Amino acid sequence: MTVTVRSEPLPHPTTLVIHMGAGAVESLVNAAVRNYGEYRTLTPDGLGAFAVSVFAVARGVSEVEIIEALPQRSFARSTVGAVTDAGFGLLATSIADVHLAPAIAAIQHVHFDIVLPALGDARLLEVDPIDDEALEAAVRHHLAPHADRLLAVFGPRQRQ
Amino acid sequence: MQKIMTTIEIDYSRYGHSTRITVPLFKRERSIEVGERVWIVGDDVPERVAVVAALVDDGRKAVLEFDSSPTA
Repeated sequence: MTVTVRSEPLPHPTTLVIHMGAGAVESLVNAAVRNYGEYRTLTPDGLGAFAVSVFAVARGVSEVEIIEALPQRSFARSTVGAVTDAGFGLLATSIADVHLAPAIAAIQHVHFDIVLPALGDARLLEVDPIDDEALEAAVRHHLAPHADRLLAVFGPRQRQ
Repeated sequence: MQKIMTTIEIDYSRYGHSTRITVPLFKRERSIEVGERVWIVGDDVPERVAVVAALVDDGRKAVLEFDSSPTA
């Protein structure tokens, strides 16, 4: 899996973004830490980004197409403006993997990562937290309240 | 003694219904071996079993294979 940043302006602030799943803080943090290695080189300071995967209802991709491309049984909506107004970064990113199922490969052009506030820990310059349990714990402790705040930016969870 | 199956939580938003996925492993998960079956869980996705098809990047990542898509 390789994550690439698309060089494009953010969608209009009213554009819907979909976060899949029941919205568990622990799951969100776990994903951000587990996948950090793919985001280590994406920031100029070398500290990388802890990212939360969402999809925009934009560029001809409907909400139904997004939901059907993913196996989670629930999801929630927010908007680009609500996410950025809450102080979170938003990166246009695409995941490249030859083994991606066709349905999710087809919506990578509307995939975005919400960037959680950085942990300014110099250890991240050298070490991926998946390789260091003490650093992993520090990162999880830092990210949890931000993840909680991010989830509150989304509306109520809907069942598919 | 039979080994307890390792449980790995993945972010399905990165894999969708893919049946072969590559997952970074936390240090505590790196006892898994090729051919081993592991539990895969995700946020509001039924848990299911995958087989470790390969270990890559010096064992820091596992290539996991499902029998079918999560909703099949």
